[in-house]
Amino acid sequence: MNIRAVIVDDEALARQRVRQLASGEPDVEILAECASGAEACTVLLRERPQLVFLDVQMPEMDGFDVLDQVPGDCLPLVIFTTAFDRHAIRAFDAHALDYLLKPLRADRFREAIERARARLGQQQARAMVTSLLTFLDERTQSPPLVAASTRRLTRLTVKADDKVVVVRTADIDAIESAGNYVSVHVGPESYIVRDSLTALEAQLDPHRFLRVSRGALVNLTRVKELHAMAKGEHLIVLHNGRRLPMSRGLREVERALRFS
Amino acid sequence: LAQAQLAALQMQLQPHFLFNALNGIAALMHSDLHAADRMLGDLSELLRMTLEAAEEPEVPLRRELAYLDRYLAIEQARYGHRLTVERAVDSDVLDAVVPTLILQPLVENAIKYAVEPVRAPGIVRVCAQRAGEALQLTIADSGSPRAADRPAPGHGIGLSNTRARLAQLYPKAHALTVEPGVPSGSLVRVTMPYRVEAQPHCRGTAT
Repeated sequence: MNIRAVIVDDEALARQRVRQLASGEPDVEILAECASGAEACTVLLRERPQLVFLDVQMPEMDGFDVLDQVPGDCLPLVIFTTAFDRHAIRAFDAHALDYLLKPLRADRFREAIERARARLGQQQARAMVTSLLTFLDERTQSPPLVAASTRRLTRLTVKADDKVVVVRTADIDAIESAGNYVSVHVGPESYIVRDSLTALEAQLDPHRFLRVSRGALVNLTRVKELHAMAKGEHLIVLHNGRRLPMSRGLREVERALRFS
Repeated sequence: LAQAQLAALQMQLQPHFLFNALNGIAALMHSDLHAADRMLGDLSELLRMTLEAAEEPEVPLRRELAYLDRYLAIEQARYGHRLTVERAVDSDVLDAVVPTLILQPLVENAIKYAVEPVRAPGIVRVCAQRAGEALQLTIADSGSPRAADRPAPGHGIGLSNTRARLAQLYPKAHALTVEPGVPSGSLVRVTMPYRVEAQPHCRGTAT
């Protein structure tokens, strides 16, 4: 599996240096070189690389401007390159994968690529686990291999206007209670279901769905971050950006996440 | 002296410049050994001259221009066609003395405003001429379209250091002005007494 990468630097020699070091990594494929921030924006959207080597200081549009301009879902992993380290803190704020100082050192470069491999590998592993779980979900649909009492809910049928929508439980991001109803969040959609949170919780896979507060069940595979708030409370941030309050203990949630 | 040398180094050469130059050399070593060799030579010479500068407050313009050439050779390798340097130096001023390393920070400033922030080629023009009893050095740049980015004239660190040195060496006999360039950019004009060192410097810089 190749790592598709783009080099962005206004200095030709600096781009050349990155290319040389990358040529020592057989799985890194350089798709393009950009000599300006504006060019980088176009190329990132067009090539959709997995990794970008991004110079911080460039004319007219610097590395941070580039990141601001590119929509979040098109953002690759970012390795910043710069001659001087006063930008380091901002770089890490920008969620850089790594930060390389010029002159680029071969050993540090290799380390950064190693990091990129690990991160991309995680993403792939996550995708594989999800597809495996889906497969298992579907298998349990046909001949019941497990006793009926332990069978888990794999799909919900939801009434929406004049149709019935079938929602795979694996696709649910979170379920929040709303009086006598629950609101089922699936990607950009939210469906109202006449049921109680507790009743649903009992039928859902406990390894997958966790009650993080009185009012919410969360699909653990959708959790991206846990943010500390005031008074020891936390906030759960899902991959799609949805935020939910969490009253359950942090340690407990973390453990559940690790085994989900 | 060691401390003065260190201070000179720190004041003269921006970390950005040094590290980018080294990065460029690292790149060239794989593609063009001769060019890498040259750039390393230029950088070493530049460092050596900077260290020596701490020892002598004034040098003949000829030597100052040699220093500038090393500096520009490195900048040229970094910026390529984006940087054009023009020079007009009257031959009768080559032996005139100037404050050591006076030109490089002014040229660096010009590059910072006319080349670094602009994708189109930028021009830096260095002139030296005699005007009666005075020697006049001018550094002009073609400017940036984002002229607002430029700090108010005379407020840059580079300029205030230069001003302080001139005041120390030629009290009441110097001037440093910044004017709008023609057709764009700006022009820094340094005026000092025209004087030829009685004892010519024969200290070579070649190794």
